[in-house]
Amino acid sequence: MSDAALHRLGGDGPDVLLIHGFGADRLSWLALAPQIFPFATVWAAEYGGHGAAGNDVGDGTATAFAAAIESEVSGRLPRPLLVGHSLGGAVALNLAARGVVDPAGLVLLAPAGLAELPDNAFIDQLPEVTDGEAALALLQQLVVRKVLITRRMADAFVETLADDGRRTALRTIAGALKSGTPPLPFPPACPFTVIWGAADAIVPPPQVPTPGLRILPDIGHLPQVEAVGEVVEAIMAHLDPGAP
Amino acid sequence: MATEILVPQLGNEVTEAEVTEWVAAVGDTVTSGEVVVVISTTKAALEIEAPADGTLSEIRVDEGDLTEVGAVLGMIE
Repeated sequence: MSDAALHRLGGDGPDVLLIHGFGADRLSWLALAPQIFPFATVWAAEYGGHGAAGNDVGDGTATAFAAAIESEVSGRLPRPLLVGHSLGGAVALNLAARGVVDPAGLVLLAPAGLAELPDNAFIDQLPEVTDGEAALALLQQLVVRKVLITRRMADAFVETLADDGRRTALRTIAGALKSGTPPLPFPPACPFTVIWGAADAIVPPPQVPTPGLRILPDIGHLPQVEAVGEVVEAIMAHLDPGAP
Repeated sequence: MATEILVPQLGNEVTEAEVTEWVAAVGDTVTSGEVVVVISTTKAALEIEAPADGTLSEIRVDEGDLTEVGAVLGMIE
């Protein structure tokens, strides 16, 4: 099984579990997490090859990561709202489908697996970067407002790849993502919302009717950074469905 | 009356951030909810909105400088 780690980020209230995307980690939720501290206990899961988790990624699939996170969450978070970004969205869907964790709902941010990846994909290039300048150019594809990705972030990312095991782990995950298997268990049985940036250059929004989909204009692949207010509203709507 | 623009709570593990860009300049009229400054860590960025209507009267932390959670970034009058 893949490695995984669970962190309590802060806040108080019903449990919200954040699951990051490819190449990110628990600290990538900086813009969103503090916004939901006033009304939720916010947790962040990390799967293999990322953050404080080890470099064992199993076969690198969302299924493997869901199983690993399930072992961390089961019995600790009885009914969490799952918020997954990109690959983390696919992990959240698989976690819900396994039937052990009983999610209160899912908020999926540009989830991987619902739309085709473009050629020469970001995921191929990310594990291969070796310098800050190249990493900056690549990471800035994530957003419309380039100021939101800095050279400092790019340099920090390259530093994490000084660990060859981490670079290998990311390559394995990239290969699994490109294979597109297994099929994504979508739609889920619980209430869900899908949020997608219209200007997402990493995983462009689906071109077919998709249940629960809200497309946000002028937003890239990181709605939790570029459209944090809309994401917070979606989370609040799931936590308190009776609210106006 | 002056209103402080503060570095918000950023979670259990994050105590400092860098001012990436001032979107508003001293003397600019700003509206509550409008992004006035962007701060970042090595992992993510955060757009900070004006907490009140008024004029940005002072910038206390310049672009490129590190600052701590709870610090005053600037003032609106």
